[in-house]
Amino acid sequence: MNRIFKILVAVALFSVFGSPFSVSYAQDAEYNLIRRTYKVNTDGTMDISFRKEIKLLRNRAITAYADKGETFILYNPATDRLTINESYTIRKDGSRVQTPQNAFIDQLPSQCQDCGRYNGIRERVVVHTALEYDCIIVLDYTIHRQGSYLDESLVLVEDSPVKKYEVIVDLPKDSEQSIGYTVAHGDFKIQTLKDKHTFHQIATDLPQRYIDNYLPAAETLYPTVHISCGKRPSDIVESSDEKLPEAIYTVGELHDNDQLTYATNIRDYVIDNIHTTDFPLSLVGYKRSSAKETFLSGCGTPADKKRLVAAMLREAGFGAEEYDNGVHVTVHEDGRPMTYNLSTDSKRPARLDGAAIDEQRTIDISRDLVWNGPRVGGSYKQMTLPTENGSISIDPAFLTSVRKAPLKVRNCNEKYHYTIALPRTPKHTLVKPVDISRTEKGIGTIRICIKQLPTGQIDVIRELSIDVKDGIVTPKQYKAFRRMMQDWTTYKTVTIRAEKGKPIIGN
Amino acid sequence: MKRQFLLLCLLIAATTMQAQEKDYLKEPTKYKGCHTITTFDSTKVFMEESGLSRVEYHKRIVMLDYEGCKANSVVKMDYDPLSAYVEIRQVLVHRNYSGKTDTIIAENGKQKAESAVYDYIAPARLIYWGASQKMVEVGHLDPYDEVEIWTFRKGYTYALLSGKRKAESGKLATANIDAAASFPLSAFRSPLTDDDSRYIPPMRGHFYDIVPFWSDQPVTDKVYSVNVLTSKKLRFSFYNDMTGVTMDSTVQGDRTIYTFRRHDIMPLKHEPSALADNDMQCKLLLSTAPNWESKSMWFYGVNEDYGSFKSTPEVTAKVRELLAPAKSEQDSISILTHWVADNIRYCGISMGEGEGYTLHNAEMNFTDRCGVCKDKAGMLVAMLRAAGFKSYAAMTMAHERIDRIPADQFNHSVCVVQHRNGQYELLDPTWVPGVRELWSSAEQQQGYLMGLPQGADLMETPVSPAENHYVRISGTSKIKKNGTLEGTFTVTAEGQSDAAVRGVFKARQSEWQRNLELELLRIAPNAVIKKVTHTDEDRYLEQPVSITYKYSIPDYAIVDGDNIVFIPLTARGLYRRAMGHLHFDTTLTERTQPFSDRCSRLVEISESITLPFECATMDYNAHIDGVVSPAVNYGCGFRLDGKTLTFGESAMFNKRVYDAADWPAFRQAVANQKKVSATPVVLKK
Repeated sequence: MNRIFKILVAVALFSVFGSPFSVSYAQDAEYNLIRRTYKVNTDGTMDISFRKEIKLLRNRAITAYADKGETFILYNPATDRLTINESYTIRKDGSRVQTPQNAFIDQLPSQCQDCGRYNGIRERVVVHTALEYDCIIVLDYTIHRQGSYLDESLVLVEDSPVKKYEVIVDLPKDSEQSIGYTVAHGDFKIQTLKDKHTFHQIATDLPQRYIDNYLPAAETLYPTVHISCGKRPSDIVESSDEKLPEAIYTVGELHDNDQLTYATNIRDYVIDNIHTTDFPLSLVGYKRSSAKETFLSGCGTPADKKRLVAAMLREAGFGAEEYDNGVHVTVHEDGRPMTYNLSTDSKRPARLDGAAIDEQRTIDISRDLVWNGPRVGGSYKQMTLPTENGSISIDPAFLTSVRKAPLKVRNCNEKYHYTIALPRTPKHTLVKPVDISRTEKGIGTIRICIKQLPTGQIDVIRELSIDVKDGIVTPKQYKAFRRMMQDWTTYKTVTIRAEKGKPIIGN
Repeated sequence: MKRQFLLLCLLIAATTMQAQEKDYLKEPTKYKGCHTITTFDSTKVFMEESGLSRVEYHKRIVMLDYEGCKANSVVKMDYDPLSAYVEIRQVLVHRNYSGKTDTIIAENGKQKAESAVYDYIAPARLIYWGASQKMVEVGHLDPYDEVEIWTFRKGYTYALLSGKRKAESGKLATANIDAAASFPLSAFRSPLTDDDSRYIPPMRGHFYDIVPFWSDQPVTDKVYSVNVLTSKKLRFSFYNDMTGVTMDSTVQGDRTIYTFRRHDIMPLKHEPSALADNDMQCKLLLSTAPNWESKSMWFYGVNEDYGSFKSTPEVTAKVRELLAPAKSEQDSISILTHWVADNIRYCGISMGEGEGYTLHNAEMNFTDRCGVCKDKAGMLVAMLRAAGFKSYAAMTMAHERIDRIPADQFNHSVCVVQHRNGQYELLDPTWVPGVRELWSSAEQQQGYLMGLPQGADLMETPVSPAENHYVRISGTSKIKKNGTLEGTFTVTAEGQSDAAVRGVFKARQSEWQRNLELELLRIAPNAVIKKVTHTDEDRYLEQPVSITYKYSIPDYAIVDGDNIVFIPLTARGLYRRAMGHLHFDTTLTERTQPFSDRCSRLVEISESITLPFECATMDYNAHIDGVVSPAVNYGCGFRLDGKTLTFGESAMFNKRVYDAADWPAFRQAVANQKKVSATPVVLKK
């Protein structure tokens, strides 16, 4: 089966804002070319090649954060043969300086340093020498790998702009294969060539990676290519009844009478106490270690750790089954079996399997408050309204005036109604009542009303409803959204003034 | 599950009973919060005539919780194969729950079928010298299991690396305590068959060691023994806290065995921003070198002999090109220092034999355009010499004290130049990229040793006056009747404060605009920035940094009838990045430990605010006492003059390293500035 499909993800066109900055800022470095080539051979091997040509335009790209000065190549000598095809620097005067032999170092990757069975993996460091203004670093290498199963997801973005990003894939005609790509809209061009290759795509003038806060997943922001070829190795599928008698003592130490707490303790033990050895599983042929290996060694990949959690849960007497992001665990509550989803990559609380996810989180709080704000000077007191659990967590201090990237937000529907009782004496008056009510099309509604009631109490109504498609605020919507967030934060303080002639005593 | 649970309960009860027999559990509160206890830790050193040392370590560690188990699930030894040899000789795990002992590595380094001693080039960033590591996977441990380790090392490690130095001694431990007082040469089995000459330290015939008699986990007994030829005249001294320390020496023929011991080492509870452990906790320094002058001459000689500073035609040509516009001696020094700082990237590749203490030669540095601190220093020495200056390399210890015993307490290499008047000036091309200094004042109050032909004694860098590191924020603003604040403010700075303000530019240029904006949005998220101008970052040597904002902030002040309530914008902690003192926690009322800030510093803030109407009185709900002390000064004030309110604040922090006795004044100044940043003024018609 030879299936090539493409998905176009439409991200709204970028807005253009005027800039208050008199200087326009240039780039520090620019890739002239990045080329990735994947060739699956018919003899059960594959060749993965990479080429980059990057021009350094400014001193800081060379010295201050020398992140362009080295290249790190992960490989597994047990199955891979790494060949450096070319490595040199072209200086501004056109002269070429070959990377010296002592600038290639094969070292253990730091993520493998606490795990014996992954100690064979290596990181080839290439230290690029002779860097100066306007030089071009050229590096070209190939990894020849024993293995024909390919599963790659390439996000075409770097921290400097890329003039030309080329992806070439060559797969055997009769193989089971799938190639797909998603394209985010932007000021770049993407061309898919119909040539002798199975897949050949060239993206030009790619901008650099966004640096804003609250970014959505990279795959939705940048062009992405997904490639898969061949059958998953059969040994990555393990039996679902693996137990772990070696862990009986440890499991006992984690016991709790509440079954869900017990299960969570086991999950937390693995997260906290098993060293995480994280690297692309392609380096080990997508194989996972047994739960016993992971437990006894005290280390493993995230996939190994997930398998260990499941086995320890079974050893503790629970029903446990792995799924993509964790383990389904069955506990008994009041004699009834209940299945929970237990994440194994974070200590998120267990969630009942099948429970509805609140797509637009709802908070509705109405309560009385007693004034607890201190005197700030003169006859004035100020009180900041409480921040309730689960409320929107967008901080407008991180929302700059110009933004080209979409913004990820969790849709919400928050309603707060507070009645604040003021000190009995002296009489106090609300300073600066607030009355804001606005609906932003396609985004949501904000309403803030702070007023003093005839009874003297302060009545506060704060309502925020955000309902954007897929939880994404587009650049076009950003300005209005930012203003909503500014207002939501700014009008969270209530100021009162003591009755004239009767100054407040104390705080 | 019930049957299983009963079995578990029995198992836990049994193991708890076993654990309770241990001495260390007699005082459970004493070890609360600790993860391990090292029940013994011994190091035995045998020094040969050549200076070559053979060291045996033996250590036994009890796990107290799973965090301790995780930390000890592997045993590692770092070494540089060019100058040291290491062995992990034996590793045992004494299981608490079963009472059995598992042999991970059998005596003489024999491995179990499933065990291995892994030997590999250690993970590294920036410094790629091929430093190696041996590792044994101990694997799963449970609380109260004990790990016992025997290791061996011969050779030396010498690495002039800022912030990268490892305390070699005491990291892994050694031998049988009872036998430590007396051990013959035969005790040191050395399986090597090749020539040991590469393990002889570069300062041949001499030995030194820096032994931390402190630990971040409890150690019940630690012993360090060294067997030296009596004629070598070992000098040694303990420093800092010497509680529980004992020492004795025994003469055996022509050799003397010194044994140093300390019982009941408990981890120190660090106060925030305290100095390095070696500056506060018990450490032992030993050296056979007679004095610092001898070290100075050795360091001079080793690099001159290698030819580290020999110029090449290309280097000389570059020096000529760079110095064409130079107008003075100081001008030339500055141009060359900053050229090396900005153009020789901090990244170390190995020169092979001699790496760590020999400065790469000019040819290698100039071609590679990269190196670590010593190589950058070497490049600068070569360029200064090519320009006709007398210049030498020097060694220092960044952010840690150097004590008088001439053990090599160095982690950083710099450069000295001799002016025509004979005065020496320190230059640090590693710490001044993008910094308007030649010697980073973040290294004030720091020991150093120049490598001079005639030798030099240990010196200390002086305090850098706070005025050299000013950060000034001055603003003019206007409050409108609707409470909107409009105005401008300018941030200027010099020295280390200049470097801190320039932090907004220490990123890709595409991030500058965002960084500049966030500085104001952090204070006022609804601020509208109308214009920002700043000095040219690429020409940082030409003038101190200056950044000017023109802004408008709606609803900033409360204008309530005849009253105005607001906090002056410039008081609110703009550019905190240049005011490291504001990050100190002032809830700590007393300190017992000395502490450090990044640098001495002068803060001057002023703002003139035009009010919407004339005001006659001002109320301020805070009592701010001025601070006057040798270490810190602080003052602030407001002046109301009709429609104008003027605000001024000044804080002077006069040192980098402070005594605990300086804390009350330091704390008061910081607390004052924080209080002023949060207290509104209330003005009345």
